[in-house]
Amino acid sequence: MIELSDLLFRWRADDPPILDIAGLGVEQGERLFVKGPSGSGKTTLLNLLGGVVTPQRGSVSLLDTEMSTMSGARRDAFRADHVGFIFQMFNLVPYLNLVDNVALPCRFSTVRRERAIERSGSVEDEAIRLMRQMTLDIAALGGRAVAQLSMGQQQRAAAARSLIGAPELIIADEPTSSLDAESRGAFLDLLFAEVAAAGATLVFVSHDASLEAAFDRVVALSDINRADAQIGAD
Amino acid sequence: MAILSLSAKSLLNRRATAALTIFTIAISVALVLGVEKVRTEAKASFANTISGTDLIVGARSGSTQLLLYSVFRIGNATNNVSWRSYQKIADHPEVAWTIPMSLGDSHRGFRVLGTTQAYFEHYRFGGKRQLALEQGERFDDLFDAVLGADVARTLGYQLDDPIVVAHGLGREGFSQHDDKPFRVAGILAKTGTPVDRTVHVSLEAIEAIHIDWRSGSKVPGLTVSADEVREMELRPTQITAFLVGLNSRLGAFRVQRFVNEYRGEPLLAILPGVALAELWALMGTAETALAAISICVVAAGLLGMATMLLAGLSERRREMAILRSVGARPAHVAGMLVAESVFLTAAGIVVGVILAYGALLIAQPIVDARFGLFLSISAPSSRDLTVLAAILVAGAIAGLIPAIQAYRRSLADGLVVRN
Repeated sequence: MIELSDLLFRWRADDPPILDIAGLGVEQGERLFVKGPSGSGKTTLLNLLGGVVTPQRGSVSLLDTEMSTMSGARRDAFRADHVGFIFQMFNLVPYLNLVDNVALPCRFSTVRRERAIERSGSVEDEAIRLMRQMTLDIAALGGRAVAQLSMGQQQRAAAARSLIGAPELIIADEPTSSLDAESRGAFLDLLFAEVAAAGATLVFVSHDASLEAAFDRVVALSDINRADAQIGAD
Repeated sequence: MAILSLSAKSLLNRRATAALTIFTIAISVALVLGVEKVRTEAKASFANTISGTDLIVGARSGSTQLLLYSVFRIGNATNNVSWRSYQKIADHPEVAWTIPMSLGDSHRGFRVLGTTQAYFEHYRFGGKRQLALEQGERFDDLFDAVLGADVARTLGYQLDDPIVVAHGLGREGFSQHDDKPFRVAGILAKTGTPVDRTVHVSLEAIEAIHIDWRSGSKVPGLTVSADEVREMELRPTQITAFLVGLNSRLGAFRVQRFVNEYRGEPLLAILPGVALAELWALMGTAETALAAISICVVAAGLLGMATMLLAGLSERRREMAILRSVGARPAHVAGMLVAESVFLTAAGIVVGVILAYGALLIAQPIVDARFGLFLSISAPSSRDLTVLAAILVAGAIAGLIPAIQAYRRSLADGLVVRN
């Protein structure tokens, strides 16, 4: 599913490397927990997996497709088709309603739009189905501005958005760090259930080691990253 | 389509600043359309003031000055034309008709023109249109006056109302010819030319009211009553200028040369079309200045829009990052900003057109009354549409400034905003 090999990345040519990873593989359907403190290069790793930046050396392969040799436009299109993201906070576009926020990836990906339509008949219906799966009461919340939703509700909406159109890879960047303990557990349960139902692979990045027990595998970034220039990498 | 829809929703979300920006652009668009309207109407009105006249003859001065005082009733003649010279030129075999004009008096700010019946028969404006009476008849009695449409409307005159002519020009403070009042015999239909702002009397009437005047003031002890003057032979000794119609336009240069080389007194004959073009060329500087100001106002409006979008970019970095995470390219993000600029400019244009027509509706009677310029309300001309299209394109170009910035930022920020 994901294959990183001999990866080296630095922001500028004269900067020290942020990431220097000999190799990392993730299997299809696996739930991987990547842990590391702030500044350890987690966000840079996500940008590499999302195809937003390319390494100076080595390869990033997703679904047997080499990302680092693609053009920027092709990487953007590949990301739209195959990767769903959940961020720590500010996940929703403020001027879109809840359904439009969840359906947003389908505006940029024909593949995901067609899968959503195939699953539920229309993109909107699939968005509503996923929101229900994530226990969001669309009747009660649909008319509200997204900024009025609680953080837990926003994160569940973000999870629904990452899952729409059944992308093969879900990348979650500290999605629970803004939630209280109770909401955190409930959110993880829902996310795992839906990721499993979709047969997707989950890469979950967090500094919170208390969550790692729930995952198939745990990788400490400091164990695989040979670069020592870590300050400010996030 | 995704980008257009997102742009529209994003603007709706910022409706207060968007509305202010639209209003700023609308005001500049309305100004541009207004200036263009005034320019075209003024030019048309200017060109329509006189037609069918082959030559204008007056005392030798500048051609623009002669045109201004004889046709536009602006300024004064430096000298007069003797009646003898006038008759000699009028008798030229190539001359078909003449309209003598005697200017110098006024009535409550409006010029008084002494002329003959030939004025009503031969004067043409706006593409060979003849003067028409809306009420009453031409002057027949010695003290009959025919009012231009604006004079009657502004001063509220009706037929048979008495009016007193003042000696000299100006609204107040001049000696009145109140011993020889006139009667309103007719009111002309609106022409949209200086005729509307003129009081017309006969040449003989001009002689009659000045019979007991010498060198611009009343002769002490000499009083000739209105009844007495009717019995006198009133033949003008001089006039201010005269309009000439020829049997054939081909003779215009010959007659012009004849007048310009006339030995009896220094005279000047001008071709109205040529003099009008020269005068408009002089006014072209003002026209250019107005156009330049309009362009600056539009540029300020569009730059204001670009500033608003630029200022909002910092707040929108997370929004851009979310869009990038769902597959938007930096070009999509930049395209969104350009689309927002186009939306704002287009909305500004629509509101600006509505504002312009609203203002035109209100200003039309005021401008007509105060300046004698009738601003017709018609659909935007092809030139107007070209200007509006150019503003739309300029709006899109102005949008490139924040768009390029958004492109760079979304490339740098990636999926997570790095503060």
